[in-house]
Amino acid sequence: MSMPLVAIRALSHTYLAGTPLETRALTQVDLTVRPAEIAALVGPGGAGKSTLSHYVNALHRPSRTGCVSVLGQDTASPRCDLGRLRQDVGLVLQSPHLQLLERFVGDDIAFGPRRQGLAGDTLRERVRWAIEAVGLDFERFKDRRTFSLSGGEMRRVAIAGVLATLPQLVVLDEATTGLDPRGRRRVHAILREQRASRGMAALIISNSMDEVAALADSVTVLDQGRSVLSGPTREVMCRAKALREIGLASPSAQAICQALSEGGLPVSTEVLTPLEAEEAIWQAMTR
Amino acid sequence: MASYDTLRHVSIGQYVPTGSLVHRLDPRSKLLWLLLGIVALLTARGYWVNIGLLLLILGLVRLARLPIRFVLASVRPALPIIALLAIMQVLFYAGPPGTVWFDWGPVRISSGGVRLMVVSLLRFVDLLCLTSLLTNTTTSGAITQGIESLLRPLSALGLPGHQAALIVSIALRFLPILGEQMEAIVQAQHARGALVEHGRWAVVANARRAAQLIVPLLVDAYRRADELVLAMRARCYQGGAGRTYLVQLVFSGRDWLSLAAAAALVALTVCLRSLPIP
Repeated sequence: MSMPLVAIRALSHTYLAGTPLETRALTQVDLTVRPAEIAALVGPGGAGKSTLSHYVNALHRPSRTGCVSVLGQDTASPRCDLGRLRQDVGLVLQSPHLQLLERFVGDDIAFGPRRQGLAGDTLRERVRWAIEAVGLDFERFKDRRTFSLSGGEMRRVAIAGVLATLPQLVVLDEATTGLDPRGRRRVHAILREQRASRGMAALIISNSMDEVAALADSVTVLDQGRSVLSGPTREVMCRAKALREIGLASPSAQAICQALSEGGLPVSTEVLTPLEAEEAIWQAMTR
Repeated sequence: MASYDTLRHVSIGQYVPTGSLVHRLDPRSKLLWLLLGIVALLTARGYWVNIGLLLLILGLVRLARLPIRFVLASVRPALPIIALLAIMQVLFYAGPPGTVWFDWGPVRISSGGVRLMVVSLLRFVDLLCLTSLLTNTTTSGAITQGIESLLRPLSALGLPGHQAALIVSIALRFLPILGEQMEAIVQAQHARGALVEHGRWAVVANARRAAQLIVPLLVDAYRRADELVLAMRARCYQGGAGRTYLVQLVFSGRDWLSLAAAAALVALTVCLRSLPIP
């Protein structure tokens, strides 16, 4: 089996340690992301998902507890090449407007590729590709001021800025929240396309179980800073009772099948997507 | 551990419930304590009196069952300004010089300048700790209620006491939020490789980038302020007229006692001015 891109073992994190406002965010958490895998982190608010994602980009680095290896680099090591690591691991934060650096959209998206040494037509083509990949028109948006954009547009520009560096791994912290359905589908499509074309992996943090069910290969469920469930998406999603206990809903396709099953229709409840639900219901009705 | 916890250590504005005697005091007595404390700080002269005041404030911090390190953290964000002021005072002090150690054009380093610098430094630290102590032991709602109650007699002169109180409490409440926001922006820029962490020119490069931190911070602050206004309007906020409070303020014996102690402190610092204490 190939070496994981991200291997986090027994990681704990405490905010404001040693002050009256000390908060334990993570306790003995494990996480693995393999090459070309789309992994998901789910959990209720305050479960520690964003804190864990910051370790993947080395924004937090372990000191005493836990071990974090990202793209083969031990992030606790003083020899860890942070510049290189952050070029290869793109992070889209919950608040996209915080990560826009430049005055104009085109310059902002070009920021990462410029640092990689791209210039001239190659740079222009990369920026054009990234802007169009997130569903924005290059000519209309390249000269727009970043802080004049709407919330959804800022989010798309932030995603484009990260994709433009062609990272090996992209971390999306609730990056599709606030996007319209078309924008969300476009982001999903580009993740799948990048995985297929160049083996890019992704770690998505989402509150939408439908999104996770449709997109992710594996899921880690966090609750109160602890990893409570982990495994292939279908395996985790089928543990509806365990998910409900920590306040998470099943994907809507599965919930419909569950309700039909409880109503007496012998339909499989191990479905993840609307298409699978349709198939299962059709089979149950024609049996 | 987190490399970005520093900016979260903005202790001013963070309420820390410990249930101590200081927490249980009426907010009005704590506000008056702050006012009288500032008078005492401005009256105090010399090293020893200021050191004594700092020790007294740290004693109050312990009485409030707060870690001294946590309250002293309020000084950290102000360190660059304090350092700049200290350098200016030492180099350009124009009062009675005492012993002059270095004199070149407008620049003169003397014992008088150094004394002023140390005393100003102590005053600054005292003031920050005192303000931090007030906000660590009093909720923003109680501060608003306290200020409004203290300003009520002035409403006859047309002073909008409630609005003034609300502005102060919102400003105090926003301080840690802005600190956290700044931290989030720094994190976001690190994530994109915009800030340099190592290397010979890291300081220069980051100083240039610092200007770019301010714009998103201001944009976010305006956005928050705008949302706060909308939220207040949506919840029918119409100023202080006719507004009632769940908890009615009661000035008890211990509040009078604490005020008497503050008044005695001011009297003591005034008396000590006439004594030749270094």
